[in-house]
Parts: sequence; structure tokens; C-alpha cells
Amino acid sequence: MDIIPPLTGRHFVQIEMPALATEQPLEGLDQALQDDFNRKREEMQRVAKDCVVVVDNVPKIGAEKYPRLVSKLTPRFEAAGRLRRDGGDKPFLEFVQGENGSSLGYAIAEYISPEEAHKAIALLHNFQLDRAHRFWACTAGDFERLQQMPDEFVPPQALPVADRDRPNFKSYLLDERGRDQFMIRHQDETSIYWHDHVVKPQLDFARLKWTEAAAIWSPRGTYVATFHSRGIKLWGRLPVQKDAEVEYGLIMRFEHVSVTMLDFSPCENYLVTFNGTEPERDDKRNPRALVVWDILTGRRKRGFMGPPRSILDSDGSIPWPIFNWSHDDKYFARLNENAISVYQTPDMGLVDKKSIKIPHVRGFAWSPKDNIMAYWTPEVNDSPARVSLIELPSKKEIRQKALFSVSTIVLHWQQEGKFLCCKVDRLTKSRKGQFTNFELFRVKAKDIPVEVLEYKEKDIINAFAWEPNGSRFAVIHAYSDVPGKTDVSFFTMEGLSGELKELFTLEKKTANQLHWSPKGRFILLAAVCTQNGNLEWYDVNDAQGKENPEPVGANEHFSCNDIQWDPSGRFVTSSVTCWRSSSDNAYVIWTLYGKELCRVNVDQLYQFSWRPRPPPLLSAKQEREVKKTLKTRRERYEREDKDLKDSVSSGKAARRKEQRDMFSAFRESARRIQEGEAEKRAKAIACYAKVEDDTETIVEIVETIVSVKTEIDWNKKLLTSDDERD
Amino acid sequence: MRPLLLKGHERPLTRAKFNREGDLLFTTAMDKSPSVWRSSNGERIGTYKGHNGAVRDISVTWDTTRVITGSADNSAILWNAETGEKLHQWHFKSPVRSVAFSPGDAYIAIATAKLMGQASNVFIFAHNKSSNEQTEEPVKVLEGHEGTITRVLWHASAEILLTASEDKTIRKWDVEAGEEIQCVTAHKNDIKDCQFSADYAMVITASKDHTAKLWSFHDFSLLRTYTVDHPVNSAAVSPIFSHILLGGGQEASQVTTTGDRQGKFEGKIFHLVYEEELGRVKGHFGPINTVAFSPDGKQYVSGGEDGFVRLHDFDPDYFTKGQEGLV
Repeated sequence: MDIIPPLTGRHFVQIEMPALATEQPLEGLDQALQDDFNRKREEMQRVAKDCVVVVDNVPKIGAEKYPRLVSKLTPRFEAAGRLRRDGGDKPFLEFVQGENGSSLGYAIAEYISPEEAHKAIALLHNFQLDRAHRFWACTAGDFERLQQMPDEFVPPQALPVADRDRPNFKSYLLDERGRDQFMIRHQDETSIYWHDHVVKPQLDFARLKWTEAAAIWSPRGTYVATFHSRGIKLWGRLPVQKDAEVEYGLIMRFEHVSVTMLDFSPCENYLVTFNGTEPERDDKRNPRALVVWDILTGRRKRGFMGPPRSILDSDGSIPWPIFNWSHDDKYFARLNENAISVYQTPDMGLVDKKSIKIPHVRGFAWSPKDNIMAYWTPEVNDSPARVSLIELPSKKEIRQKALFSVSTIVLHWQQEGKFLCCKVDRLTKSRKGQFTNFELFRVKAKDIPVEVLEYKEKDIINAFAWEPNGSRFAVIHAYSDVPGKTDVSFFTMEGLSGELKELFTLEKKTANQLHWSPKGRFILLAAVCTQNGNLEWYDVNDAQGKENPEPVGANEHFSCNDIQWDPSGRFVTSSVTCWRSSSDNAYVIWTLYGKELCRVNVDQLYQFSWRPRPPPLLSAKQEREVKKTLKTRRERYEREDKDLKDSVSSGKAARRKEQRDMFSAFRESARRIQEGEAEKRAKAIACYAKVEDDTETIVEIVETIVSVKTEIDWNKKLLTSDDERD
Repeated sequence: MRPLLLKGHERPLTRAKFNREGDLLFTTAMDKSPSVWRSSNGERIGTYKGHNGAVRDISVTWDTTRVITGSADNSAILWNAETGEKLHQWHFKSPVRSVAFSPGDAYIAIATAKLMGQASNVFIFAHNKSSNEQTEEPVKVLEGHEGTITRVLWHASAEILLTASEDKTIRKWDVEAGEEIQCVTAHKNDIKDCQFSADYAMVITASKDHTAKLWSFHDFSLLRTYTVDHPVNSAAVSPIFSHILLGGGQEASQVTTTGDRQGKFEGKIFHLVYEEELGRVKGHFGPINTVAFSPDGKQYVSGGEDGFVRLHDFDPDYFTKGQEGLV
């Protein structure tokens, strides 16, 4: 925003308004018409004011030089836009004169339209006439507004929270059965379902063409973000009146043309959007590739340039997210060449106004629970590769470890920020072979000790995963000397300051992905994107004492390509989406023991995603209390489940009866019509009756039998099917 | 239940139909030889030789003395059913898609494709039962469909004709007046097949839009919709139970990219009233193009894109076990 220079002509006169057709409303007009007239007049006055341009800082000169000033400056005003002219072709342009004929230092010009006036302002404002005179221009409307501005700054009153008129978008959390929701996107439709382990998924809301690309849950499940060519829309589930249809209301629009990527901050305060504009084509002063938005106000907080070519992934794709957020939304950081830029909220400026200079930095990761950042640098010349932990905002280094012969490092934080695992791919001395080390940092222990888990040369590590709320982790690794053999090993860190220990190894597994339940203890080993789609569930608590641990459940989902645990950690889904296969698109919901709850075929399934849950409101103490009384609570829930089951099955019976009755009615009417046609039908085949004497009677019998038999079987069918069911 | 696998056609099947008694099975395929089989043991009795293109449909007279076939060689041929002698050939300006004898066999309806600049029309010919001489001039021409007619059927009264078309509509025609009585847009995509229930009260339509729909013939009101996850090429109503038989599968153009496990080439049986799937019958390794129940409801036939005809006898269980425990 430009700083407005002080006006030189404080005694500025009232601007003459262009004459309007009728200033006085005609007598006898009714109120509505008069209101309409007044509205129109105001509108015209507003437009008229917008046509008038006030220009300040015009040279102040005596009367004798005044004509020269006019002749010199008029062409400039003319060139800036089309001036309105009077009957004698004289433009409405005045360099205001004082009583003695000298100019007062400002000019008033009237252009033919507000557009022309704005064009003129763009050209005249900040125009440097000479060293002392730099024009300052605005419309008369703005001028009036600025004149009325009080000299004292009065901070605007913050609206009380209740007045913000924001509906409760979390009504879904009040579900009586405490069910979770999930969203599927298939064909043109995006649907949100309730998941209930007793009955099949139930539709909560569905909309055709809701989004043009993906639909994304916010990290705490409050919002749904949809993609559109003009930007992002954010939706929330409106509170539902009894028996009314569920509606999702549009909360906010974030205009960002051809947006391709989207990321929420962890506490849902900010939204980051990216439209792929290359840095070379972007506007350096007002970048539009990356935008950070405030979700509550919908305001654009700051624009950023896209990532430079040098930090793109090896295949040229853009690493997403570009900004990594700290757990509390306080900081967000991006990787730059030889630096990590850490920005702070809410002012969106760099912490300490400068990036953290780290030569050759290759990757970094925030701790999920603290404002600690881990980053690594590769070996350059003689200095070794390093993994460092720094604290923000102090930027103090709290731990550093040097590593040799490193080819690449991947940082894995344990979800509670207690441990950090660096998967280090190292080269052998000959620089030909490669092997993997895990450097395990005990971040919460004193001095942050590091333990190392080494693998043999050429062993391939296929996957690594921390138990989300524990101190265990699992590794899938293949052996170099035994081709095709893949093992899954489990290790424990033994709490905050124990010792790294191997728990057990499952041999010869086909799995290529590890999926811990978000509540820990259970893990799903999945062979994703393979022919068989083998799935094996293990209870790690139970397995760790045994010789040959058996899975608690095993199953397969033919060529499944996506696995997702529900936020409660009780159910897990596998799905085949159309990105992998054009047929057999389906999702299956399993229990944590691998029992299939339901399998739903969905044509052209693009996406399955559970709705994330907000952090729990219960304190740790309350949670312990709940666990203690689990037995008595359990009874209640089991009873509720059973009641629901019964009502559903009886409801089904009722529905079936209704369907049957309706169909019987149709059959009855059809038979009456048929009886009316009997003669015609007989006539049509009468020719054959002449040939064979008894044909006619046969015809009658056949017709009757067919219909009677259908009826009998019908009733029998009803009995048997319902008996079986109830 | 082991089906009889009838090998004889070299190309995808187009139609399979039982005669009135159900002792004979007539099949046509994209090859030039419509065949006739014994339904009790699957023995091929013979073929009708004379067409010069894919044969799309076949119809048999009430007493199984004559057969008419329609072919992509722009002609329909009337045959002696028993000897295979060619009695008459009608020529058209575009391929013949469907043929049907009227009840009593006084008339023959022949539907042509919308191809080669021709509209898809139904030509009604008088059928001279006692002679080989047939009139060349149609008695009536029914015009109106905007897409190729895929099936033409006579109502039992022999006064009304039913047509299903790729223009997504089914239509009823007054044959006497040569006028359309009713038209309804039945599906979102091409209708591939259409069959009456045994009592002619209901009509089932099969469509590429992954559904089969059951209609009241009297007023074309929609009774039921059966939804599957693949295009439906053919559908039939059981003459004895409240069952619907559906056949289909992924389109031939996509078949090469999928295995038979993913191609959904199974025959499916649905409950007529509850719209629930009751059972599946595997076997074909291409989409099923045509299905039909035998008149006694104890057998059904399916013909596939794979060139095979499978003749299924229902297990004894099917008739006793509340019809849920299928196959």
C-alpha cells in the first residue's frame, strides 16, 4: 500500500458534481419508486465521483506563468485518458487558481468513465514532473473518503465470537453410535458414508461433480477441500435438523487459478495452494505460484515462488508438500539451495528475517510433537555427511552426528517425536556396493544417544515403520544371498532410555508395505499392487514372546493398491482404485483381526479416505478412567449393536414384504389384462388348432399352469427366504 | 452342475433360442452357419448354409417347421427347419439385425440396422405357410427408431410389436395401423437385448449402461432395476421362478487387457422382486452375448463372445432349496 503524502491544499473546495437530470424527486411518486430513484441517484453520483480525478503536487506558480502551466500540462492529462468535454469541445480540466490568479498546486480533471479515470490515475499517480514535483492522483470518491478519515486511529472492534455466525461444522462428531466417516470418489460422484461395523456403510452425503480433481479432508477432519479450475473451495457439514437432508455448506473460496496441489497446516489454521507456475515465469514482487491462506478469514497471507529446478525430485517432479509445518502451526519451512527457510505465523516472515544457511542441505523433517527440526547434509569434499537436530526458534543445534560414505539419508520421526530414525544408505569401501544402516536417535533422552542397526551389504530395505504410539518399529528387508527371500523384523527401543533389541522376525513374507494401526500394537503386512494382494495382521504384543508368531488374521484382496486404517485403529480398508485397474474397483473393510466386514464394488473408484478425527478432548487421567470401566461400558455397546442388528434384519423383512405386496398388486393387474387378451391370443394361434385338434386346450392349460405355478413358488419363496433370515 | 459345452461356432455368438417345446436349441453367431442342437444332450443336428455374413438373429415357427435367419449380408432367409433347404431370401439395403415370426406365424417381422445411410426400420411380411413362394413386398414398414433396432418381438396377441434399440428406447407398435403406440427411453446407453416374460406381462431390457430393467408391457412402467458392474448384453425372465438371468461382461474391445477373473464373464441370477443377486455361473472366457431360459425353466443357455454355447441344467437343489442356493 502506498503511503499517502500530505495534501498541500488543505483548504480544498467542494468538488462540483456533474449536474443530474432531476435533483428533486417528482411529487406523488410512491415510496418504492422514490427509493428506487434515490438508489439510482446515489449510484450515479458515485459513478460521477469516480470519473473525477484529483491531482495534487502540481507546481504552484504565479498568475503570469499560469497559461504556460496549462498549455504544458493539458496534453499530459489528455494523454492519460479521454477527458469529458463541454459543448465547446473544452475539456473538464482545471488547474485551480487562487484569488490572485496564481495556481494552488492541484488540478481537477473529469474523464468520460470510471475506467478511463482509473487508467489516468495509473499514469498520473507518482508521475515525476521534475525534481520537486511528483504527482499524487486519486478519484474524487476516494478523496472524499480520505478527507472524512479521522486523524486519530481507532482500532476496529473485534466481533464477539458468538456473532461470527459460523455454524457448527463438527455435528458429525455427535453421532449417537460414535461412528467414523469415510469419503469415496467414484465416476462424477463424491460420497461420504458412515461406517458401522454392524450394518453396511450408510450414505451420509453425496454430490455429483463436487470437485474437478481430488477431494481432501483437513487434518482434523473439519473441512473438505475441493479442487476447481479457479481455486479451492472449503466445505463443512452443516448441522442437520431432524429428518432433514444432510448438507455441506461452502465455507470459503480460495481463488488460485489452475491450482494443482493443496496442503493444510496441522492445526487447520492455514492452507497452502500451489498452481505450478515456474519461478522464471512468476512475478518476483508478487509471486503467485504458492499461496498461504488464512482459513478462517479466507485472506491470502503471502505468496511464494515455486521451487527452483535445483531442488526438484530426481524425476523432475515437484516435492509436495513444499512447506513442512511444525506441529503447532507456528512455523513452516521449505528447503532451498544451501538453506532452509523457516517462516513464522501469523506474520509469514522469515524467523530472524533470514533463512538458516546450511551448505548443501538435502532434506529436513519436523518433529511431530516439538519444534525440533532434523536435517541432513551429504558428504562434500572431505567433510562427512551430517545429521543435525536444531531447536526453533533459537536455531540452536542440540545434536549432530557425522556419517561417512553416505549416498542418501531418509528421516523417519516416530509419531510422538520420541525417536528419530535415519535410514542411511551407505556405499562400501569400493564404492560399488551399497548397504543400509539405521541411526536411531533417542530424542527425549539426555544428550540424545544414538544407536545403530546395521544390515549386510546388498541387503535391500523395502520398508520401515514406527509404531505410532510405542517404541517399536518394523523393517521389511530382502537378502542379497537368498534371492526372493523377504523377512519382516520387529525391534524395540525399550522405552525412552532402554536398549535397542530385536524382538522377532517373520520369515518369507510377500509383504511390501507396513501399516501399523494408529493406536499401535496391531500391524498389517500388505503385498500392495501385486497379483495376490496378500494381507496379514499381527498382534505384536502377542507375537513378541513366541517362537513362530502366527498372524491373527490373513486374507487377500486381489491386486489392491491402497491400505488405510480408520482413525480409531479398529478397522482397516484395502481398495483397488482405477489408477491401478479399470475393473474390479472395490473397497473392503476389515477388522483388526482380518475379518472381512464388507466388500463394496464401486465403478471407477478414484479415492477412498477415512475422515480424520480431531485430537481427543479427554485428559490422560480421564482416558485411564474409561479404560478401567471398559467392562461395564462394553455391555452397553454390545447390547446396542445387537438391537441395531435385530432392527435392521426386521426392517429388511418389512421392506421385503412391502416390495412383495407391491409386486403382487402388479401381477394381479397384469393377469386381468391378460384375461382380456385371451381371445386375441387364442385367435393368433388358432390356425394351428385346426391342424391339431387338441392344440387349443393345450394352449389353455399351458397358460394357466405358468401363472399359477409362479404364484405358488412365489409364496413358498417368501416363506423360505424369510425363515432363513430371521 | 456341469453344463454341456456346445462347440461348433467359430465366432462370437449372437443369439440362442429354444423352440416352443424346448427340445431344440437354435443358435446364430458371427460366422455364417446358424446351428440347431438337441437340448437334451447337446448334439448338433445341423446348420443352415446360405448366408454370406454374420448371422444376427433366428426365429422358429410355432410347430418348428420353418426357421428364419437375419444376417449382416443384408438379407433374411426362410429355411425348412428340418432339411435346411433355403425357401426364400429377402434382400435389404442394410444388415438385418432381428427377425421374428408372429404368434401363429402369419407374419414375419424383420428389423434392419441403421447403417449404410439407411434408417433402422421394421419390415412386416405376410408369411405364406403352405408354399415356398413368398411376397417380396412388405405389408407394413415401421419407421421411427433413431438407432439400430437390436431386437424385435411380437406380443402374444399378434397385434402389437415390441422393439428395443440402440437409441436407448423401447417402443410398442400397432402393426395393423403401422403406428407407434408408446415409446420410452429405457436406459442411459444402448439396449442390447429385450425379452418377454412367459406370460407377456413383463419385458426385461439389457443395456450397456450396466443395468437390466423390468418393465410392465401394458404401460411401460418401470418395475425393477438390476444393477451390475459390467455392461449387460442379454437378460431373461425365468418362466417358473421369480428369477432374472443376466449375461454380459466387459466389452470385447477391452477384453484382451483383462483376465477372465476380472472380465466379469459370469452369468448372474437375480431375484426378480428384491433385485438381489442370488448366484453366479462361471465358465465363459469372453462376455456373454445372449441368454435364454428353456420354456420349462429347467435349463438355460448362454452364448459368449468366446464362440461357445453353454447349456446349463439346473441342479435339483435349485427347485427345492428356496431358490437361494444356486449352482
